[in-house]
Amino acid sequence: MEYLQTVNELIQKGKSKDIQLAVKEALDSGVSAADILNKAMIPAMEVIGSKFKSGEIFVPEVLISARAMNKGTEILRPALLKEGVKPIGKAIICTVKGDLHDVGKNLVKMMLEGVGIECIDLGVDVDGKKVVEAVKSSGAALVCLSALLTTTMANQKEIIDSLVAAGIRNKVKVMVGGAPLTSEFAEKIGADAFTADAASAAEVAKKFCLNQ
Amino acid sequence: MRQIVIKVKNDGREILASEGEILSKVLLRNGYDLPLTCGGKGTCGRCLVEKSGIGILSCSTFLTENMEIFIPYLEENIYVQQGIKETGKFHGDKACFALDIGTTTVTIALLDGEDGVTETVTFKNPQSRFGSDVISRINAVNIEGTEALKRPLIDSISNAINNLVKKYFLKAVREIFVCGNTTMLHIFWGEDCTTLGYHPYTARFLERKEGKSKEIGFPFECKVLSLSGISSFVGSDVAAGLVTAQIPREGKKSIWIDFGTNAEVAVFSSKEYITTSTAAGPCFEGANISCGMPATEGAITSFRLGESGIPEINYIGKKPIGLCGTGLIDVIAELIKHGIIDSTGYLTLEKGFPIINNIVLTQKDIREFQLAKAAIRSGIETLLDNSGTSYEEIDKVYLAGGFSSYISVESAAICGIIPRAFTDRCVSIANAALKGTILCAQGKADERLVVKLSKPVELNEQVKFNDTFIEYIGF
Repeated sequence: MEYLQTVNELIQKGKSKDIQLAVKEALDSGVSAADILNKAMIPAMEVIGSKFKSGEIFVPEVLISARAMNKGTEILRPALLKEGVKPIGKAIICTVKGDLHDVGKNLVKMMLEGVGIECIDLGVDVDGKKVVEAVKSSGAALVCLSALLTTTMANQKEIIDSLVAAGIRNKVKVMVGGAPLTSEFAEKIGADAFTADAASAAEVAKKFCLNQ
Repeated sequence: MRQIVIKVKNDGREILASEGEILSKVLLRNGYDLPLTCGGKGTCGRCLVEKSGIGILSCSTFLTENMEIFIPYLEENIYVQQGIKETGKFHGDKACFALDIGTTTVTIALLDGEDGVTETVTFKNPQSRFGSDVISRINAVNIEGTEALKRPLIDSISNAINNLVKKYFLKAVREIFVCGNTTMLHIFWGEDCTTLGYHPYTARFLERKEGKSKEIGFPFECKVLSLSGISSFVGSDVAAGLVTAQIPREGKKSIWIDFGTNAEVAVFSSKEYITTSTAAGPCFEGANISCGMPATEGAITSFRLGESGIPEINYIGKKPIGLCGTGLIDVIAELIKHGIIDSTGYLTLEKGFPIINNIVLTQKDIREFQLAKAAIRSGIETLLDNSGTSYEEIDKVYLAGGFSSYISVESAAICGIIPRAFTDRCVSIANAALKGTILCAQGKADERLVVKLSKPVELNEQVKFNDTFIEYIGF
């Protein structure tokens, strides 16, 4: 228990330097990788997520914690593989064509990873063709599209239309986000969900993955 | 559908609408101006109207009953920038005008002969109903077409010019010189601005452009010339503004910071001008801040906590009702100084900070402010880095834009909007774009020299920008 508590605290405090040693010590003392992930790291990121949602902490603090989470996972990954622990789901994430803003997209990606979803990041300025290819080759069941500009949010629809045209729309859930968006817009373009912030995005994504 | 009667107390008119309609749409349809800064999402608070003494957001009010309303926005005085001497006299018979078309306000100067300015007139840009920033205007053009945004702009300019023509018995208009950001100029000329809305943000023109007033849609005949811009997001208003700044001493550089929804930054020497624009958002104009407002009647303009804990507050008019940009910067600086906001921006008071009366600064307001200040500061840092300039090499710091004359440089430094090292060399420069346009109209300066030496930097394409942005979100 004590080991799990330490890992949890180090992630919440964003101690990237100390986390790897703490994870190693936990593994060496016989704690399972699955427990470290599910009972320490993910709960820590959930706390970070809810604090972010309430305004208690802000973007940099989330990023610092997420970085610590990443560092910890580096050490954990081989053990997870050995134990046969799989991510709860796989998501394609990108900023849509015409848009180069990625602070929000990166935040969502880190929060998704924080709940145990594997993310395939296609970067910025991405069109429908690329997303379709990525879904086909990865088998991801979740597509997350970000747009920061009112002038580029229409391109979220273009990507959804491409998924329809490729005949794989019913194989994936599509989530959209970005400052100018609303639920009405998301509904209109045929997305499955809109979330207003990164923490809510992770909650909804987790639900989608677990309900599959 | 039941008919609803709305009585507008500002002018006593009664207008008709149908049950279920949205109040803001009805008001706009009937010719009342209303800013929809957030695009009608119900978040910015700028379209507020008073209904029996209670404020309601007109963009989120569905009509269910007859009502009497008052629209405060129509009575707001415009924040007129100082700095241009007006003679009140006109000599000669053919008039020349200089125009600064801003996203928020438009200013027109009637020039008197070769040296003086007879009078300047400022009015709100009638496009504010389409949103506060250029991106929302571009989006509106996408949906409604260029003409829908061009027409009210040209009409309001015609109107203002006609009033001056009558007032000074002008016989004819000879020429109009125009500056404005790239989007505003595209709309002014009736050119398609939609490509400015997405990567790679292509402008149809940046160079000087000449035409005839009648072709644009003015009711009078004259020559119209718009000044050249630097890039899609650093327009001729910045080029004209830079014309008014002194060239720094040999071996030194100066920096130009224009606070706005799109903040422009330039680092320059006698040899080159490195420029960029950074998306600060509308929080300095009072939008997206729960207790925010523009610098009009009732706005708190400055704030100190004071030794005894009793706040020293300055405000416009009789009673404080909200915070404008300079007040917001002051309050946050004081809270940082007294440890009430920590270095991450966390407000230690659960229910927000009570400023005075019922005006409360919330945690969410601080977060909104942090994004804006990080945008401006990372723009500054990226340009300094790009041009290999240290803080010490900076000769003068020019602060331009609406509130630059009133901003506390000390508070700005505490909040981290500008580096502390800049505080002893700040110069406020009001109405710089219009002044520069006047100089160009008088033939005393030429913005094309600035444009020729300019190197625009696109922040989005800067690898380090994201990290710099994150670095400066905290205090």
